[in-house]
Amino acid sequence: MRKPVRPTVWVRLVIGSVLPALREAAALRRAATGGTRPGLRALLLPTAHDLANEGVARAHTGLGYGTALRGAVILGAHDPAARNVLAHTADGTARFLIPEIGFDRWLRLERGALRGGRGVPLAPADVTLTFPRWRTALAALRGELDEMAALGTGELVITGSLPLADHLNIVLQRMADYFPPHK
Amino acid sequence: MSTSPEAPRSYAESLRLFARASRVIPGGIYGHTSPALTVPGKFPNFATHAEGGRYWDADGNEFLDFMCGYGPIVLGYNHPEVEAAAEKQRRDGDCFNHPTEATVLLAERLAALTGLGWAVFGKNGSDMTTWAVQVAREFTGRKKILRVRGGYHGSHAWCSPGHGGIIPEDREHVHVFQWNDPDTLRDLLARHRGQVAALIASPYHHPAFGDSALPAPGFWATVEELCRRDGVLLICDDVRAGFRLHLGGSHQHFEFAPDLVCFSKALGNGHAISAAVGKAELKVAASRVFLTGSFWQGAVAMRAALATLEILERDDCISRMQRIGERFTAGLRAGAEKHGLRVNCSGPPAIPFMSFAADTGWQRQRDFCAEMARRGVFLHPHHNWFLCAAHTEADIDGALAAADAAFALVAAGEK
Repeated sequence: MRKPVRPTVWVRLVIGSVLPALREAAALRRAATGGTRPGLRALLLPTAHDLANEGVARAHTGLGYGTALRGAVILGAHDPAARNVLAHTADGTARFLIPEIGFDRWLRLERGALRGGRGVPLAPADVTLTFPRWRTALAALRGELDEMAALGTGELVITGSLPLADHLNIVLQRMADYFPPHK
Repeated sequence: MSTSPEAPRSYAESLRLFARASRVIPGGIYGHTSPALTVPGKFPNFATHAEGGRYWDADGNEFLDFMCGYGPIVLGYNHPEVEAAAEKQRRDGDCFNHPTEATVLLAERLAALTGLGWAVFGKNGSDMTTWAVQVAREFTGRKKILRVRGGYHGSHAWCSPGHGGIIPEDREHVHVFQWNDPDTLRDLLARHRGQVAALIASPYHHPAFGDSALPAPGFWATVEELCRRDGVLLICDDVRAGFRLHLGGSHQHFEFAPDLVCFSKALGNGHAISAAVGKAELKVAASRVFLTGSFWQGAVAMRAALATLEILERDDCISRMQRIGERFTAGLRAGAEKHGLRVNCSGPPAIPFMSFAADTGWQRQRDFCAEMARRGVFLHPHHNWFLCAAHTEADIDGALAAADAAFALVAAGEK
């Protein structure tokens, strides 16, 4: 169910999360050699047609998770629903891995506030979420993955604190309230 | 039962079934039995049959079971006397146009055992906790409900631990306080004076992903006093603990006097039944709150419940579960210490739980429980455990032998 969004938070998300993704997408385009260079819209807000192109889909997966994790930090500071969840979550560090596309980032929750970064986290991870296949990560990003079933089949692997993963997932899902995926 | 790690345990059939399930059932397996809540791939997903204190999974693996169907199995699986009573009723019929005498007998029995005045029946704990809350609202004419943070009262919108499909209005009049902290309760009562219909709590705190916490000395007396002072009804959610601590309800074990008590789980030794029992003065209000379900008068479960209560009393099963549980938890503590590990054993002995100290990510706990499963002992890493009257001293010996090996591996992993 889509929950109410705040325009001021939306603007913060655009500045702090979407614009960096735009810069990353532009860099990806510049780096692309040969073949057809995908447009920025296809990389950031792809249609099902755009995602038929594997290169676009892979790039979008990394960009999308990067945007979502940056967004989580902003939501954790400014979105009342996200703040309420984090206020009742024990401190800890979560690591997010999609090895097939080299995605390795983390979020750290400390006294209700989130920080994030790339690579090895500042503190040992209390929970690690791994998508062994990037296609599964893409499905999750687009709200098309049965996550509980994926945990049972090993398509999504969580080691460590499930409550921390669950609560951060609620915050990450708030991003879809602000920026619904383009279907 | 083999507790040898050399005995290979394949979960191939469980995994095959889960793959099929995940295509046609949301979540594959939903709710508290979801593999996502254990250690996926290290535990079975599907069962075939059970007997006494053991069950067999879809791959034919045998487990000494310390979850007991997550509580309902209090006498042991397939108890012959319970099943004979149920089978006799099944031959006569289960679902009729009317209740049978068994409904009346069971209401009389529960009213007498609990020291309360009347009883009604459903199929699951949530049926009763939600209805009890409505009865409290009807009786008091008030809206607000107080509950303990992290407590579990079922899957309905006002109390579900889930997130999907919930709107803020579902919980607009539900407020939380901290277990064993009467000051947070006082604050809530002061803030909502004259508006609180009921306080609902389990007799002791048994959160998932946390140690169990018994009531601190004087806690229940204070809660009771605060509720009485403000005309707030006290609802004891005894769904999980009921009939493992005291035959007349866990409020008698912890010596407090609720206005309403909700039971389920152990009441029918695995047959689907729940009950709410209340004080005589609430009976008129209770009669005004609509209560029904297509199968809620099912006579088979009523007969199973009557037999279960009789056997629990006759064989003094509650004392037996306590003794066995004390031996189990003492053995776990000693086993952990032998390997230089610190563990917390919490909860009443018949509903024990063990966790590792300073294991914030629960990884040691998951490793330990996965190793126990590998040795044929089913323990849950994040949810309290259950003993049943069918567990024997030899079962405890077997479980502790498995634990010794599992502790050794956990300790080795830390070096």
